[in-house]
Amino acid sequence: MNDKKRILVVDDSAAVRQQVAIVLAEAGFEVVEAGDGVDGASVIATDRGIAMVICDVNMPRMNGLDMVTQVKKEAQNAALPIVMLTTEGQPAMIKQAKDAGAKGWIVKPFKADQLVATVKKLTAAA
Amino acid sequence: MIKQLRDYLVLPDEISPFEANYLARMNRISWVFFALHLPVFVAIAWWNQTGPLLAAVLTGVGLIGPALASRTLKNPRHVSIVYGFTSMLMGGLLVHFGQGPIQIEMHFYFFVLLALLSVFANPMVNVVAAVTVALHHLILYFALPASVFNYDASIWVVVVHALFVVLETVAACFIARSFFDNVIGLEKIVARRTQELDQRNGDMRVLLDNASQGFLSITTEGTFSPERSRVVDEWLGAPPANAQLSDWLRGIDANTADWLELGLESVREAELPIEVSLDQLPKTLHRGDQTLRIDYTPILNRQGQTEKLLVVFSDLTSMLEAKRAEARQQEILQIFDRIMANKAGFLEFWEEAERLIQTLSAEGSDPVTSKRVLHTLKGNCGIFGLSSIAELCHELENRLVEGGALPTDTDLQELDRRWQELKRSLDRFIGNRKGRIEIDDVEYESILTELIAGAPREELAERIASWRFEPIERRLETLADQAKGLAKRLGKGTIDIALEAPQSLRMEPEHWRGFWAAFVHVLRNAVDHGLESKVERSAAGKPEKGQIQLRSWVADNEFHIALADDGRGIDWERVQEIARSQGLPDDNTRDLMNALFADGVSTKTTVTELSGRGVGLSAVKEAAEAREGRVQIASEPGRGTELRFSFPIHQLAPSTQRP
Repeated sequence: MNDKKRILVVDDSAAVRQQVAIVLAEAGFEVVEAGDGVDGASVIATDRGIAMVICDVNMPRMNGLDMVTQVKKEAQNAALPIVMLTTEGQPAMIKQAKDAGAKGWIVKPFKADQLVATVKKLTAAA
Repeated sequence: MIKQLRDYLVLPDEISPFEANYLARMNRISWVFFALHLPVFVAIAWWNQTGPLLAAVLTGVGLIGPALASRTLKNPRHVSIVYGFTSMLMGGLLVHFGQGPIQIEMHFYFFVLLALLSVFANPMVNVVAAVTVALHHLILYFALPASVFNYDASIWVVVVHALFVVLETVAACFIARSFFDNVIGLEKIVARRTQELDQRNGDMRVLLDNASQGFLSITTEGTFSPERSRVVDEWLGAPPANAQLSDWLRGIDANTADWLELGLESVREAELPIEVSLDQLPKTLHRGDQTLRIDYTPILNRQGQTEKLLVVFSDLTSMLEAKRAEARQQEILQIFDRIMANKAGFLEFWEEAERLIQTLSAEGSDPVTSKRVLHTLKGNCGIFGLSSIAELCHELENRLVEGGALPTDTDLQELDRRWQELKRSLDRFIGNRKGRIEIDDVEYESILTELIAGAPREELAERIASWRFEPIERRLETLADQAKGLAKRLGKGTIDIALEAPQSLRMEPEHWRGFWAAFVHVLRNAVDHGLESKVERSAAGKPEKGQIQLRSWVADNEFHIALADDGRGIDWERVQEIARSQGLPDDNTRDLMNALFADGVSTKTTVTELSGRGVGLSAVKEAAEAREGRVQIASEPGRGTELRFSFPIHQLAPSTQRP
């Protein structure tokens, strides 16, 4: 029986996904990866075991903002915590993402302890 | 004990305005009150037939005391004490003129008055009254007993009276003192506290007015407090009417204002861990040339929640400025160091760099040329200590390589600005040395001696002509020093460099300048790409220190320069791969060697600041060919690489004699 919480990381950069995955795996989470908003949304739609989503802002095919908007349209995802991964300089984008239902954001390059604390806090509440 | 009792009964000297006011009013009321005794006592005396006239006279005499006191005594407490005495006098008069069936009951009035005197909030008033009444009774008991008792009372009756007085006085003193401490004197305490607070506020103000950092507190809603250090207003300008910090910052830096609003929202929502939210608050504010750092410290309420934030602005401008100035100074020192080590080389570099910068700024420069120029400029500037230029070139080159973006006008202006800045600092120094020949004392003495001795003119001319020439040995020494410095910067530690050059070999610097400028790339390649890291070396069973050989010699009418290293050797497979990917022939060793010297081939995958963009070898090959030279490369995987340049001997001759 696998009781690890499953976290979905959506980012077009494999390096970022890997970094997040390593940090979260060390903290005892299971990580699922998706390369863009379209894949991210379909993982969320099919895998009901996802406890939380960490999502990049700028991605090909479907960006983070559109993905959050689409995912949060589904009533079943209302409680799913989503945190944006962003670089500095995009306050407007973050504001829209929060309005669309994201819980908050983490600045890239992220600090490992802060990422873990955030994921722990948001998945504990869920 | 006695002292405690005295301190309890006697009030502290200071009289607050409130107390003075209160006592003046009480003393006035007392005057009216005791003045009214006159008609009342006259009436009682008339009723009891004890002499109304005498009553009028004696009561009138009793009133003289307070009348005089209120006019002469400055201290209202002293006036009150006179009333203590007067009140007991009035008590005595009542008992005297009230002689008759209820004379004893008239004594109640003493006790009433003793209690009433507590309104003065001064135990001494009660004590004076008690002493007065005691003496009065004792004296009258013996002198005029009828005035005291309406029966033949014995002395113990007087003692019983006295005990009641003592008892009441103790209680009255307590009430008076408590009244003073908690009501009348409180004004004083409050005044003192206020003064202390004012003092503290004043100190705080001084602190806030003079602190060089900006302190203010904000609520999690972003509303700032009116109390803050003066510099905050100085830096941020006039505060907005709504007292929102983000609105205050918006006029200076809208981006910072946006992040502050978002960050505070995140703090309020408390969805993310508080340390994450706090870390996301904006940390710098740019105001013109000024850079402010912003720090936030949460102020917690009793439940441990963040209620407010202490915001501290610190001006980093001067610190950053100082750092920049220090870096500039360091740079100049480094440059001087290089100039001292190799003046001729530096001058060559200086002229070449100036030319390269001009090429870069020239209209219509294509990416390949720009890349090459930037690369050369970066490398040479790095070697001669112009680190700020080297860094800028590296940045521009990166952009060109990764995004194909040519340097913009702004970039070139920035490059020119830095160049001119350095030029200003160095020009005087360099200008003095341009076009000068320096010779050492030994050479000077020797040529003078030979001249006097009548040495042949041709011989002397040749000697003097060679002054412009540079011994190859010196050039190689400089290169060796540069290679050692480079190895340190690349984390390869100390390296061994073997030098071999006949002293007699000299070359005309002007003619060879271009070659040496390109040769530097090859040397850099050897250190950066050729030599392995210490770990790799010891794993391969090689000495920890990398070995490099720099040699020059003459053989078969040719002049050779060779550079060898004991590093990893050339990865021919990788060269073949790259050659193929670039559509170059790759069939045999010659093809591969040609590929290696082609523009844009580098076998090292990571691009470091110093080298590795495949422009080095092609440049040096071109430079060699321009001087009728050729280049050969020999490399064995795991053993090392040797590059050999060969030139016809006449290339060493002065330009005037060269065919």
